[in-house]
Amino acid sequence: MKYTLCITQQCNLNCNYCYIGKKKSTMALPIAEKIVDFIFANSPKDEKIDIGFFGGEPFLKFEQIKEITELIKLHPSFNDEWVELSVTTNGTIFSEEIANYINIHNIKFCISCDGPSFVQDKFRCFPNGMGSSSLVEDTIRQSVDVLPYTFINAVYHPLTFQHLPTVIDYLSSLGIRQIYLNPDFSASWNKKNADLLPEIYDEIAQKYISYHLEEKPHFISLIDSKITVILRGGYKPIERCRMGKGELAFAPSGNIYPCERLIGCDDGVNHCLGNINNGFSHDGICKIENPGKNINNECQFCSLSDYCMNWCGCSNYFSSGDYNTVGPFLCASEKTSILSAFRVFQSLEKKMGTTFYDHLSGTAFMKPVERNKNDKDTESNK
Amino acid sequence: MAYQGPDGGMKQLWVQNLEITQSFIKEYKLKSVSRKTLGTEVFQLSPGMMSGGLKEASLKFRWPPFPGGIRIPHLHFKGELYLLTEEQWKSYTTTVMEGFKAKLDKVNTINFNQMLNLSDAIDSL
Repeated sequence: MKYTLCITQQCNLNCNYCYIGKKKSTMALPIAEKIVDFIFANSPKDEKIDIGFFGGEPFLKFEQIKEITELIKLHPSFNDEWVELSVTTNGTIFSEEIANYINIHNIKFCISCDGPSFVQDKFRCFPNGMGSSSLVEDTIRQSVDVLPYTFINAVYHPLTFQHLPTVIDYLSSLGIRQIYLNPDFSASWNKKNADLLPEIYDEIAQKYISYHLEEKPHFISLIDSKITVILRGGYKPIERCRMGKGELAFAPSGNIYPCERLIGCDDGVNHCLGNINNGFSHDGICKIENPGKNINNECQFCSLSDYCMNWCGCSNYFSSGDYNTVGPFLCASEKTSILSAFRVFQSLEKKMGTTFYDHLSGTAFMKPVERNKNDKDTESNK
Repeated sequence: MAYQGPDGGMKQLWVQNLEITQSFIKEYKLKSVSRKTLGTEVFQLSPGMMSGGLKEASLKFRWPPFPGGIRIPHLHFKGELYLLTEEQWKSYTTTVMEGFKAKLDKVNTINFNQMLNLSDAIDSL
């Protein structure tokens, strides 16, 4: 089960493509307490629990993060081996105190950084227009030194995607070894952009191969997640989007959403499933019960459908306005990354022998989820 | 550790390649190993397993970002653990990749123009 706690909707940056509406709303401790109780009461016993601190910028409210972490860790049902904590920050706020806390509490640390200054400062700016790149670069350098693992989430846009290979070089030069690349699905992608993808993804693939050959392997989501999926024969039903069921996001107000990307302004109406004080709205859940199920005709007859993230309800929503309708850019991007991953696999297995056997167990990008009862029943019937 | 099966090993993680895996185990007459035994024998490998040796870089790389602690090719199937030689791994992935290659001919594409019309239709609802 994945839970995202939007600690605050305040942010010190004003990124053009941000999907969280900014307001001075911060999660009060009594709300957080109810959410933590809800998490432990409603998570299936055989599923791992991922709790992510999110914003706005969560480190604007570091005290709240500490208090809520304490609530989680002191909960009678807390189990260190089954509960994983993470925080996603814009990288502009960092200190020795934060680093120590992250280390002591074993919290995964993810920085949103789109790349070097000419990419980062295009969208990720302070309200006065000043770019955030130098601050974020400092944070990355420090965190690589003091934290065991720093993850980067880089968003790409029609205006920046052609620089992705440079983004990888840049992050690698800062010591980053785990890079998640995510398109801004709400942007206006066009066919011209899609036609450039094979060239760009291939360049990334070549870098990926070089890193392996130099014995400095990097995790690059675009490649690793697809190698995993190819080896395993496709996404398992339980790995697909479970927004509203296997995944919930909580706004500071206590409103419940199917995914953090759908919190928006937290108007309590659009995409809202209920409030922690009153529980779920059954109607709300019904609307999204099977995201990605009624996908486009093209998907239903596409041979790569099982390997494609056409099931991602929020990506579909931002591309097409509908949870179940896949946008053409996602189609182009998925197809290209699957083919790139396939070529990488062939090349590296040929050159290095057994390289990707660990991908059968899944990657951090798409952690295997414990089987639910239905899965067990299906399997025992075989 | 999370995701453990009754014998302490990883639970069955894939559905789509279940049949390939089952017939592979049968074809190569693979015997499952106990994870408890493996704990003491994991680095005393049979010939053919990771002949290149364990490289420092790859040791550092395994977790995170990748889960799992068994640093040799292996399969998990119905709660059991099967160790593979490099040759066996190659054979397994060749089968999987051939199946995948066959699918590459039947790829569909969502057209940008069609999509714009569809989005307009959804917006007008």
